[in-house]
Amino acid sequence: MGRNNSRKVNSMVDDKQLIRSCLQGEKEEFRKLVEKYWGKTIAMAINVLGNREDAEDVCQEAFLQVYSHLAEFDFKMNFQKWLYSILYKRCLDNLRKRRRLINFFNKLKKEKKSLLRFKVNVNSASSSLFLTHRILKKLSPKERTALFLWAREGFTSSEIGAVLKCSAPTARVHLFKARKKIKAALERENA
Amino acid sequence: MLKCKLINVLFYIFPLKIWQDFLFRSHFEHCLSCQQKIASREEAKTILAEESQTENSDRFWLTIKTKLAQTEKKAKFAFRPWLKWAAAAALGTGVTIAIVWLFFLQTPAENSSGKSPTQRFKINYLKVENKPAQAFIYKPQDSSMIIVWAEKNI
Repeated sequence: MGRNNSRKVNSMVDDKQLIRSCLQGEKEEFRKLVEKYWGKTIAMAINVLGNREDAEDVCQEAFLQVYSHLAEFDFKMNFQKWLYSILYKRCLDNLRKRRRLINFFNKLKKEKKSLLRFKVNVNSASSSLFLTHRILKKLSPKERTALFLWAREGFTSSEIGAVLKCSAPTARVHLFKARKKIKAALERENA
Repeated sequence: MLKCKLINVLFYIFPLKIWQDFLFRSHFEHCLSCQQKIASREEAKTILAEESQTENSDRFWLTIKTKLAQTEKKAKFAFRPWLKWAAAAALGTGVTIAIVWLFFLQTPAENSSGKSPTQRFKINYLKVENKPAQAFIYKPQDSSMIIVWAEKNI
């Protein structure tokens, strides 16, 4: 009950006012921003990365980046969009790292001599790295992000484009493809 | 239906985003049978993780707070960017001065008497009774006098 009330109060607090307070040296004000957005950011990171541990790491990195670049925040912008665009970049970095790791293990796999020695590592790494959600796995990171922002946050295509750093038509196409793939996958699941 | 299939093929044949967006806006957005082939917002929500599924934020904030403190500590001890440039500029200036001094300003060392090489006393060859002789040159301290001692070779 108390938590719900505090959340309602938090949502009413103006982000820009909180940022101004942070910039004036009131570092505890940043906690309010974190508390206000951490749930949404974690949800987005989980949807993009499909893995909770990675999602938490990425969110922490994103908030640290936000804090260190708070002075560069454009007050004409929406803080949530700014946060999401930073988070999206961090997610892509994480996926790139993951791909490199998978490529590395694949190379090791090819080397027959070292295959036995690394077999256990390959299996454990891939099980934790692969996306948990079977349907989301079929979408690209851009499509997953676009879908999350559209379905959960109600973003328009131009807002999605601002986060993905692409034009509104491109964002619309990503979203369309995502919705199409999901529908097909859901129908297959149901059948 | 045939039209829908054709447009769908055209959508994937030309993967230009502007073209695909044009097809989406002109056909897929309005066509009822195509609309049935794309997931609605509610359907999409069913497969997406949501905010309420996540735990409380206290642990998360504590980790961020610790990391922020670490970053601030590092920043305190870290070089300011301008300081790096200043150090590089100082080093560059020092190296330039050393090069100029070595190659352009340094003159050949003068002898101890302070005279120029042309004025310096020099014996190339010494003969006594038309035969080569040994020469010993003495220069007493605090005097400009030079004594030459010649000795016959036996």
